[in-house]
Amino acid sequence: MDISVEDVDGITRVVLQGRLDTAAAVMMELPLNTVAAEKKAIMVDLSSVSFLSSYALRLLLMGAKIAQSKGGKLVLVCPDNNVAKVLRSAGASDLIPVVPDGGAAIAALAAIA
Amino acid sequence: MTRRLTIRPEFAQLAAIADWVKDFVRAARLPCERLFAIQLCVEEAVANIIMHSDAAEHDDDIAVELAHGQNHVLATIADRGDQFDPTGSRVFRKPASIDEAAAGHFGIHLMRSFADEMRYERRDGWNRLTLRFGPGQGP
Repeated sequence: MDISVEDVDGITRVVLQGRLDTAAAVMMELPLNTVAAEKKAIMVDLSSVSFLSSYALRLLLMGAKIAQSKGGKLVLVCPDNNVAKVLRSAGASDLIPVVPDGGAAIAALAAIA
Repeated sequence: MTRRLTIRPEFAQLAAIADWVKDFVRAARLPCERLFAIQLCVEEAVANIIMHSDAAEHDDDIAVELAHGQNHVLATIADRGDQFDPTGSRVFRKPASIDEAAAGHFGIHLMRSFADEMRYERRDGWNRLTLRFGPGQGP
């Protein structure tokens, strides 16, 4: 599991790659929570995530909660079909914006960035 | 076709379990959409044992079995921890707020959603959780 973070024009893009199983999610907790606490407009690119466990789902929801509590916003970008099923099944996609691409993410974050 | 795997109760084993499930799905020539559902449910069951059961405290191995029957797959996850019946957990209600959602507890719900049936029995000191995957597409 890899994570990369870059800031472009006021938006923080977090790219996660690989299997977000429970072990990987435990390792991602600190870096993602740090971004959520320090940045305002955050897009989390899930296009290269092939697996999402319940613990990883909680990690994303926790990130969104931390961002919201600081007046920020976190959106999820381009989950694959299986990952999208997990998000829908748990009701997460009713609580965090899930958008199909970077352009839609920028639009969703425009008021914050 | 039946395969069995015995693993240490450690998160580091989860990737190996996923690979083992993938090999099974390929060998059984199952549709690839079945792979994600089986991987997810086996991971959730094993992670639950590692995080919440005293099987992990006592360093007791976890046994996983996959069996391909006519038109279905059965995944059985067994541990010698305290008795715990996940089929008896309360019915999932979608979280109404981000605060509620961030508390987590989605694992059993995901198993219920991605498997067609979930059965539990306690026998000879073992918890045995059996998940059935039919020909359906899941949620």
